[in-house]
Amino acid sequence: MSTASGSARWWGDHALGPDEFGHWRVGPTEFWIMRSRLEWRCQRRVGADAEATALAWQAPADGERPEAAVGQTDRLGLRATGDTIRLTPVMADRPVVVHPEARLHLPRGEELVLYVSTPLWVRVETVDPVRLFVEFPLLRPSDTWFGPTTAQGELCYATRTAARLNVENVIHRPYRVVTAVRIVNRSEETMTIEKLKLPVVNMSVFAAADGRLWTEAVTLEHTAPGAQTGMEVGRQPPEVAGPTAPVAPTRLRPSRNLLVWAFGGIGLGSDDV
Amino acid sequence: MNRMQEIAAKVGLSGGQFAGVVAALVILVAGWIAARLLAGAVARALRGHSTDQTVMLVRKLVFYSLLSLVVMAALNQAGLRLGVLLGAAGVLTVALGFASQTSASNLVSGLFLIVEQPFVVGDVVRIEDMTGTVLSVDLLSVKLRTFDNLYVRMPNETIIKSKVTNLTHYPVRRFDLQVGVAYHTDLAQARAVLLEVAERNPLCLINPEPQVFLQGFGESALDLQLSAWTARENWVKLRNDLVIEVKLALDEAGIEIPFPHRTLYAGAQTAPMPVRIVDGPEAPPQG
Repeated sequence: MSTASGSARWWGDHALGPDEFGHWRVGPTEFWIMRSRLEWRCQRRVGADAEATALAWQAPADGERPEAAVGQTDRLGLRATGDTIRLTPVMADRPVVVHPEARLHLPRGEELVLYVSTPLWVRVETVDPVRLFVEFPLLRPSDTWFGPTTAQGELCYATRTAARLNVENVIHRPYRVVTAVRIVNRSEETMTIEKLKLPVVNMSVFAAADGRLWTEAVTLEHTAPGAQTGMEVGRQPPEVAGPTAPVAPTRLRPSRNLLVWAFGGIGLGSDDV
Repeated sequence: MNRMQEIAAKVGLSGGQFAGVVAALVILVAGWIAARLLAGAVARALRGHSTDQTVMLVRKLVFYSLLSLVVMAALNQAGLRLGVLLGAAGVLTVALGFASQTSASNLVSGLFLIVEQPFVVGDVVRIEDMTGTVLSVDLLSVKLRTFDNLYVRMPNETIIKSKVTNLTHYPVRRFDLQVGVAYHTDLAQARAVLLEVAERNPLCLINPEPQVFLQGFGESALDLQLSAWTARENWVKLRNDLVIEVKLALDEAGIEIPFPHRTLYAGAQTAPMPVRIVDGPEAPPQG
């Protein structure tokens, strides 16, 4: 029986005997995974407090099973269930537009590193053979549109972040992953950062020794207003994360150099950065 | 062979003619099957590389082209001289031309629709008073399936002359909710409540951001409009959820959505009219 609190590793392979179940509470989401002889069942619900930072899990759990009507339920039917279930924290299934709490101005020639966090999804798989059972967000972010007009662009998720400049001020939440974004202003003007689109589907999840989750470091070079920004997704998390180990690969084939519209200025339809 | 000659004699044909007719039928049946198979194969090959509409058009083009060749080959095999037929067709064309003006107009309109592509198969469109999903764009008409599962055939000529609204052309769409609040309501508070409802709903886009407009000073209420954007596939769900969420939020904030009402004044210089409230089926005194 495994129990943990704080920033422990709630993911990975968990052994469950027949008719046993595991219980996880990660941030605002609480979920149970139950094993029967012929099926796996995943039941989950989201609490009202979107900023909850609770982390507790037990597998197998010795508490009471949830009632069938609680939350949302998925079932996986099999001829015979194996004894291991795998949980993997994965990146969101769409790009995420990060809105810093306050507008940030970066003069020409300057560079800085922003630490932003994005919500995680949980992938639940059976082991031997590996089969995807269900995938769900630990915190369902709002939808948003990123593009010059409502006719052109891309549907993304939106999240607000403090966008810390000092890594020591970063608050790590178990349901979010942190990305270090290095922004270099090579244009002739001061740039204003109101929102930033991260191509999280091209990024991986890494775990530091203390259980905190990071992605690869990202570098954005801004050359001129209205120009597409060169974005480079690194191969490893930043050095400040310390030694890390890969937890989940990218959803899409990794593309190291992406020419993307990464920045948004004032108002939809503006190409200014 | 003797059996065939007997049958030929019964229908009044010579042996050679009967063989020709039989061969023509065989060509027709085999050709029809071959045309269906080939058209289906071409459609399967295109699926995934083209839109549903293009696949449908190519399939029909392949099928009818092959079928035309098969019919001509069958007629030729049956002994009919195509030259005579084509000559007669020329005479008929003039007569048919006068009779088929509407069909010709639909045909030409259909070609324009195919080229202009105001909508494609799968789009949800509103044409006149009809709203539905486009099932096919054919040469003479467009077929729609309404939301209550009715099959509607809309002539192309009608569509070309009508205003067509494509509800799913763009990936995001705005939903406008009209809400009337009582005149004594704090408008800033009402606005904040409505915007918070939109922000709490994850289907409501953060950008473009939701907005609240004061539409005007209505007869019984201040007319507000909450405008929220969402992905087109979520529009119906947002529309249903937002109405309920707004009502709950306004109730919780103590903001009244007034019924239509009238205030009666007898005049500035007169006393207010007395009103007696009768509780129960008590009839007022007569006279």
